Amino acid sequence: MADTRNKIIQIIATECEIDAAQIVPEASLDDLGISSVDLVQVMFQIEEEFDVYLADEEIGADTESVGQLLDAVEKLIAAKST
Amino acid sequence: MHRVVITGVGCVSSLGLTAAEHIQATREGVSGLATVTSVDPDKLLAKMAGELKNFDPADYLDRKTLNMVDRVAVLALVAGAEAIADSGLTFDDELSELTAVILGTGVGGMKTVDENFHRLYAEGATRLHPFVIPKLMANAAASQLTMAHGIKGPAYSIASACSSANHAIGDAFGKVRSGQMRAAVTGGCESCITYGTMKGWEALRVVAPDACRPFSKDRKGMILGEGAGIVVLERLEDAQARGAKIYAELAGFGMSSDAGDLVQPSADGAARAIRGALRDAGMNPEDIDYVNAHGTGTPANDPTETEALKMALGDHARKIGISSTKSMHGHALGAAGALELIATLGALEGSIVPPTITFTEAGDGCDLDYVPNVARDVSVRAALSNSFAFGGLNAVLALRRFD
Repeated sequence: MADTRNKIIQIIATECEIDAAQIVPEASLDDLGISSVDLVQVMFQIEEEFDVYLADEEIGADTESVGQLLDAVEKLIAAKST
Repeated sequence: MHRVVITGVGCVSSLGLTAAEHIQATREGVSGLATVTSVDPDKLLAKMAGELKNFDPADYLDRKTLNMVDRVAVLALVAGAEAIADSGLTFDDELSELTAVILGTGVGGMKTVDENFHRLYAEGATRLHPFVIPKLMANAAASQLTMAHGIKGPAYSIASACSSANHAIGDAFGKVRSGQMRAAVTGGCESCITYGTMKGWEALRVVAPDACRPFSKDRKGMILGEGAGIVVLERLEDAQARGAKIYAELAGFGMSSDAGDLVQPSADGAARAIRGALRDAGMNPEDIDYVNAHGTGTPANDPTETEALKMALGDHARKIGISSTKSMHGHALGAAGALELIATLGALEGSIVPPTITFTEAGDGCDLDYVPNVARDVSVRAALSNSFAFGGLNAVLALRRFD
């Protein structure tokens, strides 16, 4: 799972042009300056990387922190492999 | 009513990546047309195109911007930045709200459509990149220019196929002339050299396999180009008050529709637009020293345009140079009128009329002086730039040298 987390953090860092060290679970997307359009871009890259579909109920306007994003994606990946 | 002048120019085309390079190449009679590189030429019957050369968008725009834009908007942003910097204008609060951005484009973000729909239809992709829609929409380039420069007046795109740029420039001209706007950033952009588009043009049987030879007997059609040409329009009094460099006066604009055939041109419709531009500018045919022709090099356009020029200018049509710079930069569709306006500014400013290159022998019904192959020193006091589009939509700009 650490590998998955690192990959997601790397995607956020690349797409949003943020230093990866700042992207910790407690950080809020707002504080990191991640806009809704940035998040859409991040979601697309995560879907491409892990071959999952992120439904609006899982990630979207209600997603406030990096941790929520990581948890949601990890849950999806786990569900896919069972 | 205000007099309107051009105080900034920017251009990217197959002839160069600045307005100065574009103008210089048209004077030297250089061809920007070559075997296409962004499409596999082996799949095409007509393999030539006028593509930008040695152009890396990353030299101009950051990664985040590039992620959000189609190539057509990239070209508009690069040419727009050049034109605005050249004008020396900064869009502070008051000017910002009184400046319009009006761009012509024939088809908008066609590369985005082509690449992404191919993924979906042919490669079995189940999802598309999230910015497909904001990249392909026809107004994207105009919107990107407003955001890049903080221009908050009216902004939109105009689509009239090959006349798009002239319609956009003419519309912007009207807004500044009437006093509704103080300035405008206007022109045209097009970048649709894709497999799908090239096959579409091929199917119409109007594309030349080797060279674009407007007005020549052995002409075989047009060659598709890409590019963007942007100009800054300002009221004369504002430009003079701030000591701006003035390229020329945009003096008149004429429009007409053929209301005839969707693709066959009409001499009568074209002549009405030419007469309209002269009337709007308060000019007589004798005032005109140069015409930048629509001159596509198709069998239908060239004799029809020749007839239209004779109808509108009378005997004077035989006394002046009439050239098609499409022979050099290709037919850039919605950007064509803008690339040709900038070539015409070069003629007005430098007293050099650009040639029609790869000219061989005059075609039937093509009996005017097309400035074959070599530029000519002519003092150009006033000029016309013609655009005639599929759909029978004609748009002609009239320019006057500003001394």
